Amino acid sequence: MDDFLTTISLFRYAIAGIILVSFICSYLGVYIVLKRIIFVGVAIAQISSLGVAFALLLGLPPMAFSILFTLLGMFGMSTNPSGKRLSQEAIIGLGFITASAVTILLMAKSALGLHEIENIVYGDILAISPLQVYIALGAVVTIITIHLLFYKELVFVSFDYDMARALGINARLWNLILYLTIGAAIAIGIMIAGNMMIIAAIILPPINGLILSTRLRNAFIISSIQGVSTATFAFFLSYLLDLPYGPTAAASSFVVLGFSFIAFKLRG
Amino acid sequence: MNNRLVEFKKVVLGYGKKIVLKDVNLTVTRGDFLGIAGPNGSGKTTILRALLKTIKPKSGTLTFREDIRKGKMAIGYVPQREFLDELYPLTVMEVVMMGRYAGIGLLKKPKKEDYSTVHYALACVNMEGNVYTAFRDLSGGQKQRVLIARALAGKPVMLILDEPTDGLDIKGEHEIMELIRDLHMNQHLTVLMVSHHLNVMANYVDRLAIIDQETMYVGKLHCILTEDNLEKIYAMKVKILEVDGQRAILHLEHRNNNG
Repeated sequence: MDDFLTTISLFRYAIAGIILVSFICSYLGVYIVLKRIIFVGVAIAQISSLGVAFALLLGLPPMAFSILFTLLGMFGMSTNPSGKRLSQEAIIGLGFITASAVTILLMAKSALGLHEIENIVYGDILAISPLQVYIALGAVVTIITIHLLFYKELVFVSFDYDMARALGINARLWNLILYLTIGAAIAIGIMIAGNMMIIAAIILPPINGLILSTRLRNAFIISSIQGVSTATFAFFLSYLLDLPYGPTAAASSFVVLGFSFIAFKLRG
Repeated sequence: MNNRLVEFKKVVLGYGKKIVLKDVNLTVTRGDFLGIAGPNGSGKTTILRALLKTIKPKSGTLTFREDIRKGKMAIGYVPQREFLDELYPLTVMEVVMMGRYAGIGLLKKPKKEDYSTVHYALACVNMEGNVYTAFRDLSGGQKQRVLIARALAGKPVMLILDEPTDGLDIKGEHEIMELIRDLHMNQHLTVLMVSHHLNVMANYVDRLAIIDQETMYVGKLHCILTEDNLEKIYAMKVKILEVDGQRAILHLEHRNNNG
């Protein structure tokens, strides 16, 4: 028991960071899955890492550039300069592969060691600083407050954009707010918990919530609870078994999803 | 503009540099049952977007009645139901309540009167028994009723419907059109519907607007819906039949080709 408490005390910032980013990413992931923009989420995660690599190379603040690149990436992927010649999916794919390649090239040219920079770019939960936790706390509180206060507008615009516009609701603004909050959550999440954990958090718990629930509100609640619990459980598991955190978090979430599928099938 | 709800005067509509419709002259007055038809890609949806104020005219004037402009009178919009994603686990109540959101305002929850209005709207479309059913579990016709109820929940003076019978079987099509006619006759709603189903239009609307190559022709149904006009617009031979007071439009091209 003492060992357990010592572990918690030792990694209190890491645990706090995990709880914060897993909560917000699994909550917003419900929109990502419902709006069928999972690939956008994955590409944004990669572009966010590119922002960090870019900042490290030039000695600039990584978190600020992670967020800046994320927002620019979201804007870029919402446009289609080719007109009807290319699908939006092609633009997103272009963003993903370009960001992946350039991130690695920038890392290769960095003055820091490759392993060290990999940890920073793709997130190292054990290296998290108190400042990063406070920034994450501020961001999560802001994002969730916006989402709770304007739940009806965000769901409406997400479900039926044209109708919302027809009723005089500023659908463009609400859509922008939705995308900006998703982008900010992913950027901060990657700096804290890493690329793989965040991608898992925006996909697997929301799928679980949507499978187990017949009401949208409950899907958000189930997704958030599952996201936080599996991410925290995975942290201790990775510590005990000396496993890398990101894949352990993704695998834990996948196991829970497997049980949910069985429960869903049994329920009929 | 006493009875006029919307008036297009020499309006040109389009996107970017592309002109889709030019010289649109159209007046929608209270009590109208107007249909807008035309071949695919002719600009039916563009007209609808202008009416919903989601695009602005490139030139000309589009005037809405002052009460509509000031938000005192609402326009109800019924979108094509296949544009709505079935993944969303929303109940019928939640979907219909969206029709009240503009009136509820920011940071506020629906009140008792909002719920009463939603229940009334659902009763108008005979869906009051499905208040807590998941929207995605409904049949095509039931979904269409719910979307009409959502438009009614905003207490509109005019109902704009986009392809309301698309994807419905004959029975569903008949039931939805009878419901729309009932709302027009008994609730005195002005109805404007966009559809490429001329057989539906032919039996329900009072006035028809047909779009042909960037130009819109508007008039009483019997003036616009003639074999000559249809042959010119659709570039194919058609026959308009009347059976037991119901009009049916047949295209003869296929038969002629086979001799």
